Amino acid sequence: MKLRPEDFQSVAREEVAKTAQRDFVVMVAGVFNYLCDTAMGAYGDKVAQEEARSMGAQIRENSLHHLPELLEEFERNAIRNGIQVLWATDAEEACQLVKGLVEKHQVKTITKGKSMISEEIGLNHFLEEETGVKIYEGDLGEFIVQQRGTIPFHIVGPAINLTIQEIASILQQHIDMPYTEIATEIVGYMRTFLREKFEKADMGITGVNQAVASTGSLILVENEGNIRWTTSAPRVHVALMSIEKVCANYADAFHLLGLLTRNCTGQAITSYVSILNGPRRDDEEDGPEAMYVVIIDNGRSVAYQDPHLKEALRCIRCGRCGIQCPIYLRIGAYPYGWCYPGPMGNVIAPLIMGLDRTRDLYEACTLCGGCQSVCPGGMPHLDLIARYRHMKVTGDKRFGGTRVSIKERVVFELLARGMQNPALYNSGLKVARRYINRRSQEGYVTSLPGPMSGWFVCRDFPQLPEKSFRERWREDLQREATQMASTAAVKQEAAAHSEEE
Amino acid sequence: MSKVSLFIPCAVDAVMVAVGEATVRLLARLGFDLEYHEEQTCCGQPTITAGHLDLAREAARRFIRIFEPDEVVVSPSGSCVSTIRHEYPRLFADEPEWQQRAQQLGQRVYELSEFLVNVAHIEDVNARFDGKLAYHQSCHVLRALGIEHQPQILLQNVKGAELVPMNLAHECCGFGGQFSIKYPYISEAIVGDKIKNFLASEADVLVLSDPGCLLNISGYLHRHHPERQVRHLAEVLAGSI
Repeated sequence: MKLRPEDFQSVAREEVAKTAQRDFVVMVAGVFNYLCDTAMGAYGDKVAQEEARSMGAQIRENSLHHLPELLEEFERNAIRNGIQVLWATDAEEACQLVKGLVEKHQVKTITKGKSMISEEIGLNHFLEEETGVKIYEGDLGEFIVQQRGTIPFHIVGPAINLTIQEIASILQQHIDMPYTEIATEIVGYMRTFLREKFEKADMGITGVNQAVASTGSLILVENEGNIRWTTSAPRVHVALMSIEKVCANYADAFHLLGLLTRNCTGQAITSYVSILNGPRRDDEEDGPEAMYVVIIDNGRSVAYQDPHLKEALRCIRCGRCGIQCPIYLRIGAYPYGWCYPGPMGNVIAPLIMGLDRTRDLYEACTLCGGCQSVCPGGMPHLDLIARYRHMKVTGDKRFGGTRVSIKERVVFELLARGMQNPALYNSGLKVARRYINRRSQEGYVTSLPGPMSGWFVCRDFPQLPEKSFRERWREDLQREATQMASTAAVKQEAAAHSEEE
Repeated sequence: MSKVSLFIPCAVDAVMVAVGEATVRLLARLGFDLEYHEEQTCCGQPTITAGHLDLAREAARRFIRIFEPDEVVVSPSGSCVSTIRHEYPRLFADEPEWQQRAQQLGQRVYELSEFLVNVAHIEDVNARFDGKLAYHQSCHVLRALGIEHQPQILLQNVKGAELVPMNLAHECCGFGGQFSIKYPYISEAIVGDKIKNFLASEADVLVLSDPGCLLNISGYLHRHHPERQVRHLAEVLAGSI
C-alpha cells in the first residue's frame, strides 16, 4: 500500500467510512487521554502541570536556539565515547550511509527498535531492495505493521486500528504463527520468535529519544525490551536521529522524558530506559563492537533558518497531539500519507515534503487547538498552520508552494471589499439572501450547487432572516434596548435605595 | 449604568439574527447601555484562516478604527473575540503602532459570558428554563480564550434548569469554517459523534457560545434529528427559548 499525502482526500474518505475503527480509536484515545492526564497529575494541579509543560517548552526553545553548538558538542563527546558520528543531508544519503555500514560489517540480519526517523527516510524498504538484508522490527506493533506493509497507525500504537483477528491472520500468513485469538498466546509466540532474531542479528538499528550533548550519550525509552536487545546483542548498533533530537544535559533530557512518557502512554517512566555511552569496552561483557549515530537533516535546516518555521522542530514525538485531534481520530494515519500522522504531520510534513504535496494536511484542520493545548514541547501548531496557509496563498519558493489560483483570490478580494464597505456588504447580503431563500423549504435549504455543496453532505442551512441584525437594530431593537436598560436602571436604583433604608 | 458596545459577528448579522437579538435583550435587561456601530461588517477571520493576511490586515485596521473609542466591547462569539485579541496583534507583527492599537483594543473586547462573569461580576442573570441543558465547550471559547467555567456558572444559575455532563464536551464540533465544506465527510464524522454524545447526555437542549458551532450543529440536527434543539448561550440566558 503506497501512501502519499496528495491522496489525502480519497484515502480519508475511505477511512472515515470505517465506523467500527473510528469508534474504537475514539474510545482508545479517551482512555489514553485519561491516563495521560492522570500521569500529568504527578506534577501537581493544573497550574503546576502547565509549569511543567512550559519548562519542557523552554528546554526545547533553548535546545533549538543553540542547536548548531549542541550538535557539535554532542559529536565531540560521542566520539570520545567511541561512537562514530555520521551526518546525512537527506533521506537518500542517510540510507546510503547505513547501506555502507551493512556492507562494511557483512550484515545479514537486522533487528530494529521502533523509530520514526527510519520510517521517514524509508530505510527498511531501501535496505531490503539494495542489500537483500533481512530486517525484523522488534516492537510488536511495528512488527505487525511491517508484515502488513503499511505505515504505523499511531506513532506509539502502530497497530491499534487492527482487531485481534486481523493481527492473528497477518502473523499466521507471514510467519506461520498458529492461529489464535488469545492475546497472551500471540505475545508468547512473538516473544520466542523475536528473541531468536535478537540473538542472531548482526546489526541493531534504533532511533534516539534524546541525545545528550554534555556527555555524548543516547537515551532511548521503550516498554518491550526490544530496544535493550537491539542495542546490546548485535555486533553493530546504528542509531538514527534527526538534528533536533539533541539537548544540553541530563537535567534537560530527563525533564523532557518525564513529559514524553506521561503524554505518550500515561506512564511516569517506561519499563526500559537505556542510556548508551558507546560500544562495548574491553572489560565489558555485553554491547556492540561498533556503534554509530547517523544525524539526519532531511530539510530541517532550511526550516531552521526561518525564525517562525523553526518552531516546527520543537516536537519530541510523544504523539499526544494525535489523540487530541478530532480529525486524526476519525481518519487515522493513512490519509496523511507519511510516517507522522495528525497534528505532528500537519506541522512537519509541509517543511520536508513541500507545501504543494501536503496541502490537505494543513488545510484539513478546524484550528480547534486541542494539539497545542497539551503539547509538552510548546509547539505553536495553530501559528504554523496559519503560516503554511499564508505561504501557499502568496507562493513560497523555499517550500514549494504554488500561489493560490486567481479564482480563489477573486473570491477573497470580493469578500474583503464587502468588509471594507458596509453598503457593498449589505447589498451582497441581499443577493445571498435571495439566492439561498429561493431554494429553501420550511425554513431550511437542503442542497446548493457549486462551492458550497460540501456543506450539504450532512447538514442543512437555515433560511436567512428577511431582516439582518443591523436592520432590526435600526427598526426597533435599539429603542427596545434603551427602554429595557432604563427600566432595569430604575429597578436597580430602587433596590439599592431600599437596601440603604 | 455602564456602556457596552456590541460586536455582532457577520454570521449573526446575516444568518443567526436571533442570537444578536438575544444578546441585546439579555444585556439591556441587566441594565447595560448598548451601542451598536452600524458600519461594522466582519472581523476578517475567514481571510485569516484561509491565509489571505494582506486582506485580513485591511479588515483589522477598519475594525480597530471603529471600535477603538469604546471602553467595553462584547460579542456573542468566542472565535471572533479570539480573532481580535490574538490574531490581530500577530497580523501586525511588522507594524508596531498598529500592533499596539490591536493589543489595547483586544484587552477590551470580551466574549459574552466572560464579560458577564469576569467584568460585570454577574453570575445569575435571573433566567428560567425548565429542563436539562448540556454545554458544548466551543474550541475558541475554551482553548483560545480560556473560558471554561463562566458559561457553566451562568447556566447552573438558570432557574428550573439542570446542567448535565456530556461526554467529550470539549471536543471540536467539526465546523472549522471552510473545513466543513472542503472536508465534509470528516466534518460529518466529528459532528455526528458530538450529537451522539448530546443524545446520550439526555439533555433537552445543547447550549454553546459560538455562532460557527451553532450553524454546524443546528444544520446537522435539522437534517438528522429535527426534534432536538441547540441554542446559543445568549438565547438561553435571555429567555428566548
